[in-house]
Amino acid sequence: IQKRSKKGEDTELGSGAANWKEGLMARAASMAKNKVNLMHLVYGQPGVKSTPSSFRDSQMDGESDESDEDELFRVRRDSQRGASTSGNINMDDVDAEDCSKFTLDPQALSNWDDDEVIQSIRDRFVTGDWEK
Amino acid sequence: MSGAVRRVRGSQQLRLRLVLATLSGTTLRVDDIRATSAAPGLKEYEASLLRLLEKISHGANVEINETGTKLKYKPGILVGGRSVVHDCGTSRSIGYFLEPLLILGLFGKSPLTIILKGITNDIKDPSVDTFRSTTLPMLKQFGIPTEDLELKILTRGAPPLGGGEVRLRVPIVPASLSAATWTDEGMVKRIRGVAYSTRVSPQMANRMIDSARGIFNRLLPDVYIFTDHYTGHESGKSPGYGISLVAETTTGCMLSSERAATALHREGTDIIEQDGSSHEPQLPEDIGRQAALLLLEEIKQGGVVDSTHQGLLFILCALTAEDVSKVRVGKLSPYGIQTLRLVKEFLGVHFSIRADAASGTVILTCVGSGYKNLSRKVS
Repeated sequence: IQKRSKKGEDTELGSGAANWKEGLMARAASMAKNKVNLMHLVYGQPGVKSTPSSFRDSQMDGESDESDEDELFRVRRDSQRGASTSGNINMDDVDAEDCSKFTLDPQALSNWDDDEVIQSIRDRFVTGDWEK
Repeated sequence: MSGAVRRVRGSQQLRLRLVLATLSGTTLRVDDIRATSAAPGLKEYEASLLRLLEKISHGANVEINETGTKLKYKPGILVGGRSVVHDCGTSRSIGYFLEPLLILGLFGKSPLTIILKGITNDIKDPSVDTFRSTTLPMLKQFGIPTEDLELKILTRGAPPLGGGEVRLRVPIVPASLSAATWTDEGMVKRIRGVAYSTRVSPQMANRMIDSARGIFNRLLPDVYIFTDHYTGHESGKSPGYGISLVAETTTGCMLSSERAATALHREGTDIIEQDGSSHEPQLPEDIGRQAALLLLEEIKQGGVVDSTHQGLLFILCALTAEDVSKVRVGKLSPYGIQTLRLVKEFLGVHFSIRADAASGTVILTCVGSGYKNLSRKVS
């Protein structure tokens, strides 16, 4: 009996079961993160008022407009201007260029000379594996 | 029309804001348009867009302050029209105007036929070739027959001087758009494309095609890229060349990519770039290769439309009858995200967004706003 129980503890089955459990928390966390993040990315965190910039900006404007309407000089209030004007659309820039065409940063291009990269999209073509 | 006034700041997303304000009958007030910029106020192309809106609608009212930093737009009734002509100028290409025109045209009183003049292809906006091959077929998913949609390229116009001319025909939606369940992107079955050249050697088109084909040869045999060469009065005012590619899938999705040469210097004329940088004219081989690689990137992402068309897709979903639409896209593009926010702001349509971990794509679901073609009922 003693022999059997000892065997049961350190067979491949035992260690395999432990492996399966190992990444569980991390995987669950990453899945939950993915799910939450996209909604928050687009519409902002619930309860946190500031995220969608257009909403915040229009609010700010509505408040301040009446109070200093007749002052001759006004302090420039937006500090985010000039932050980054190059590259992709700057989400906080109220005067960002209105352009629907998506231009990928040349640096972000995958290395298509690499055969592995080509293989990774082979099944997206009719010439690839239909089972997948 | 409701008397609601929506106040926003800055020139960002002006096109979509105007479109959504028009459709929802909201008066739009934009403040601080490039207020802190060295060249404040509305740009030439934005003023041109406002004139275009006035042309296709009845009773629209536009007020702009002296410096052009404040704008008030009161939408009218969309009437469409049979023989509208609009000069888009040369500060932006025709592609800038096509997308808003397409959405507004659908909800007009009568079908729209319009001639647009200006730059047909440039590096900033979607070209007329992509619009014809990729944008128009999208509408089929929302119950618009493609036979009624047409974009005909009458003459080419390369930057900087343009001189191109296209004719756009948009039918009207009888009642409302039908909701779409469009999540199967299928597999790429063929690649098509157009390589155009105007006022340069026709050999330029062949050189672009050769280098693009070289990339696809390892993946797919069914690749055909047409050459489209223009001479004489059809060739516009400036020399140029470019290529537009489309991957067509087994389920009828179209994914596009394109590249064009930046403004070519002509002998005897000095072109001063607005941003002060001088762009070297690119080799046709590089342009063909880049366009092909960009198409592979789009194919890799998955999704039923490419990154460029996400915005239009979301708007169309939001404008359908009160029914559930479900679509799949690759990675959300910045323009797509901004569109989602605006759609919620103006139409109250809130998308449910879920990442599909297995395929690395994003699935969006929404209930359409039940928008009806109100302009038509008046007649």
